[in-house]
Amino acid sequence: MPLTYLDNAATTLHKPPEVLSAMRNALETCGGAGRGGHYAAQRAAEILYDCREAAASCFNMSGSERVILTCNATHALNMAIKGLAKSGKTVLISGYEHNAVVRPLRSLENISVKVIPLPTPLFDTEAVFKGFEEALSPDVCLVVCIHVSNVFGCILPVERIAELCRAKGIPMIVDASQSAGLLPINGDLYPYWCMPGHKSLYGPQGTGLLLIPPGGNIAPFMEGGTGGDSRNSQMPELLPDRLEAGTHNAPGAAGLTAGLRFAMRNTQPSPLTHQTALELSEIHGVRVYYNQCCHTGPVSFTVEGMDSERVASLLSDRGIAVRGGLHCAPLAHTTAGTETAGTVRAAFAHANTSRDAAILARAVREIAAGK
Amino acid sequence: MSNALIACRSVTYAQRAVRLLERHGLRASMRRLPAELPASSDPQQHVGCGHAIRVRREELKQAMKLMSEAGFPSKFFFCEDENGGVFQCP
Repeated sequence: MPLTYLDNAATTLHKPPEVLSAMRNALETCGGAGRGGHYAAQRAAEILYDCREAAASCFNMSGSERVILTCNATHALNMAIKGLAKSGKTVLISGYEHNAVVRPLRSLENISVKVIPLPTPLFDTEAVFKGFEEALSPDVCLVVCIHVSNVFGCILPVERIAELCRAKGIPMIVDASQSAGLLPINGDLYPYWCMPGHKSLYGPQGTGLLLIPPGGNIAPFMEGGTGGDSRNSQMPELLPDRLEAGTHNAPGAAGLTAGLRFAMRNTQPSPLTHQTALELSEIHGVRVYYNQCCHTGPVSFTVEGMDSERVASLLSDRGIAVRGGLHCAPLAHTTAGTETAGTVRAAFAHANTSRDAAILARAVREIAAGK
Repeated sequence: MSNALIACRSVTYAQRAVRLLERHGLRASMRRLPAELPASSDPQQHVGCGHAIRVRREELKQAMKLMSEAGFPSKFFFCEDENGGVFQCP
């Protein structure tokens, strides 16, 4: 049975061929970047530098040394959150955050970091903005906000919130896991941006980016060798070395560079998202969480009387890969009122066609009709 | 052929400098610096395992100027003999 892959909000499965060839080339040619003066070490250093430059270009950054290579978005978020949250202070988060934000913050409760989620109605960007505006008290040391909900695809007004934070001198972190590659991102703006390489940037799993704003810096998340400054028992001050201990994932960086270049050429969100949202919403018993005003990426839906995991399982039986459940974002489901049954999430990527959208709509129609 | 080496405190900065100089038509490459040589004016950070950009000696001045204009902090340079030995420039 052919696979109709619509779980691209988790990981884009079909990578451009240049991603694969770049990774293979790196595996065959790279040593440890910065760990020697020989060709293989220099080749690895070149590959890492190419990745930083591609990211800086993709995200409009003036300095590629502020591009930090991470293992994934969760790694980047942990680095930023634990580097910026302060003991005894408050962190504000939106009501749509992923566990990649909620769990690191919960772990800081033992140093008396207080976390305040700001639940707001789905697709109400003005309510999100006002929520942060009203809650930004002197006690707040950090704001964390997702750019696009990984469950509902709703776009949150992070640029406007960043202006509020900048005016008050409060650091801000944006979780750009779903937006990177789909929406414009300016890495020279105020926030720290965290993103995976393996979703809409079309890189491999095991890659991610943390974009440090101009003048920004955080304490190292982990310490170790950097290939330079070796007599110094502390981590170097200079970025990116300060935040990148240990041997790099050079093959991953090579793949991510190719993916970033692909994403820059193909940056617009899939038109199939809108088409699918409309088609599914016409099916009796199906509720679609969608508003064209402020949506990109994944479309969530429910089938009346059915658990989302059951629907996802029935779709899987028909060769359609989607994701049911809570999507590692119980806070988002609580905010939207879908925490009991969860939702089914479908997300399109560059390789999908209108045939894939039609296959999904037909299958959901059959499932909703009890066939 | 005599070369000069411009010290860099990180491999990323060295890469960036090489690309900068190449864009301006200079021949530049990276190499490691001997551990005893400084890459910084801070004596606490005479660092071990530093990186350097190799340029032609006659292009050193132009390279330093380009790097300074681009905001590179490096002010340390050395000379390299034909066997790759590094010494303070006379």
